[in-house]
Amino acid sequence: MEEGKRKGRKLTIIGFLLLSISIAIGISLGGADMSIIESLKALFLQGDTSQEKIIWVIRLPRIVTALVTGGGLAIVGAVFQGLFRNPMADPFVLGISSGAALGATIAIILGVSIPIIGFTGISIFAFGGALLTMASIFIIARARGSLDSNTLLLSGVALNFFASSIIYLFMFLRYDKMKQIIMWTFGSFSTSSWEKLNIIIPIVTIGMIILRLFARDLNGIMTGETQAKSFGVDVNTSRNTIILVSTFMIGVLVASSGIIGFVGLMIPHLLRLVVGADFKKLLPLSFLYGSVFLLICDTISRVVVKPSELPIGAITAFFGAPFFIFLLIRKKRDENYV
Amino acid sequence: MSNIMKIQNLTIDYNGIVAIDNMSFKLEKGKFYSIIGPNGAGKSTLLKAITKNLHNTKDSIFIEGIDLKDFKIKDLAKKISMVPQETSIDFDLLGEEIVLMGRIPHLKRLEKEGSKDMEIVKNSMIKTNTYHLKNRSVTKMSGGEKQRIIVARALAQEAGIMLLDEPVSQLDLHNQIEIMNIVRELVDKEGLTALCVLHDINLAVNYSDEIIIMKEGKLVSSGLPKEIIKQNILEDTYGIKVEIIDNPVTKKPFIIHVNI
Repeated sequence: MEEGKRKGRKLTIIGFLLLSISIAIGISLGGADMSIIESLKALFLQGDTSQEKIIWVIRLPRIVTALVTGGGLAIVGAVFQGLFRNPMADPFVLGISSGAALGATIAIILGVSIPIIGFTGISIFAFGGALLTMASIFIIARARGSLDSNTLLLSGVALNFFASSIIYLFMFLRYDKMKQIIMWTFGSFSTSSWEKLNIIIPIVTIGMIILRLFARDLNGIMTGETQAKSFGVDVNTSRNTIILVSTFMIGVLVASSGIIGFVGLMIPHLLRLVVGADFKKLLPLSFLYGSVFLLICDTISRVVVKPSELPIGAITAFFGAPFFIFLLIRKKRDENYV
Repeated sequence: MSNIMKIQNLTIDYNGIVAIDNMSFKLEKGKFYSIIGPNGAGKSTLLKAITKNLHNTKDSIFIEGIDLKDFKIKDLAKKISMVPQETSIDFDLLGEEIVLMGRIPHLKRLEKEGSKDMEIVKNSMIKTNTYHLKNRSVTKMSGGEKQRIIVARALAQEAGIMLLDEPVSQLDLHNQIEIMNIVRELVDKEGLTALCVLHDINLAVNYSDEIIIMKEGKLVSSGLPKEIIKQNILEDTYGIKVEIIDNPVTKKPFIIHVNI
């Protein structure tokens, strides 16, 4: 355990270094090029007014949104993998993302445009879709008389397909809106603003704190639900709280930036390879590394085809998957030879 | 002797199928009890009922005189610990991290594990011969090592009663004896009460103070091994022919099955 703590500290330091570097690079790159020095000047000192505006109004909110989104997705991914005892689980495994996409699709087709506190009508509908999906899962599981993980997971998978099929039908019927719907599901940070962050940051922060308070319960559930109960984990209460909190986090993140995959699957696995599965260590590190990873991906998506940008939802897996596979193979080899 | 657990007219049915049929028995503190009986006799159902994994046990299970239904999950874990037949953990957790889970019932949500908890974890690991496994990942432990870690976790709960559900049926002879010796020693030295489901009758005879025989949800017989391990009772219970001889070493009854 001492060794684990040492590795954890080392990873924390490396993580913060990477974070600082990626923020500095993210701030200076973009439509209007600035040197890192110029951009840091604009950030901390009195700089050129137009540069200051670009940094404070456009780039910084976007960077912060990418950080919070990456961190939030990675934490919920880690939590769901443990909660469902399933290494393939990710934040979207319960169908919350498809529910949100269905909400967004309906808003796009109806042409809803009532912005509330910085969020578009599409985002509001997406958030509603996420919450409705979660409510449906609990209703289905309760009707079946059992709230065990497998029931929840299967309900989620079924709802995922159901929502997707409705989206396909809508796209088929309203061909003219298809591009807009697809672009939404790709995800993007281009509409980030401080106003939206005023909502996102509190929800994600409170969610993270609550999930961290359940770290010990999650460790127990990871060893099996019946066993966890036998050493004092109130499995039902923990599971319901965790899913509720996670849905709010995922809902607001997906509503604001679309469906960004792979972060929530990959980051927790990579960290487990180094520090093990203990949630007390895993959760904070997941946030840190999820943040850094998504910020790097977003920066890439902004600069590769300037002045246009690539869809972030495609970038994460494009760069993440090969790296992930490489590390999985390398880890396996270490285990066999050492 | 004080009764640490009392089962009184316990009946459990799953939608009309009776799994436990009006069962009553008492456990005295500091004794080793084994439950034996054929598959489907209701042994596992009984353990599920005692660990509050079944509903409708009102007025039939009492722990230290208190109705089981009045226990919160956390409070029950301070009274009863559980060692299952097998534990499959695919996640990379260290031995010490698993044993530390045994402290959950004693910690408030915001409370951090203190030096007292770490001391209890260490002692539990020493008593179960697992202290050398504290930094080993559970994914790299053998079946016997893993089972001893689970016993250490149960021990860290500091519960007076330990339930064991076929704890050695997946283990080789050496590990079977090691686990059974550990539990027997905890009963003798620390006043633990053990209630252990076993399939191996000879193992049950060797380690138990008393044996409970179950068949079709009913209690067939219970008492001292030498009084209830009888040819007619076992032949009725299991539906096979057996011979009982005196174990030359322990002088206890020894069962040989003779259906060939």
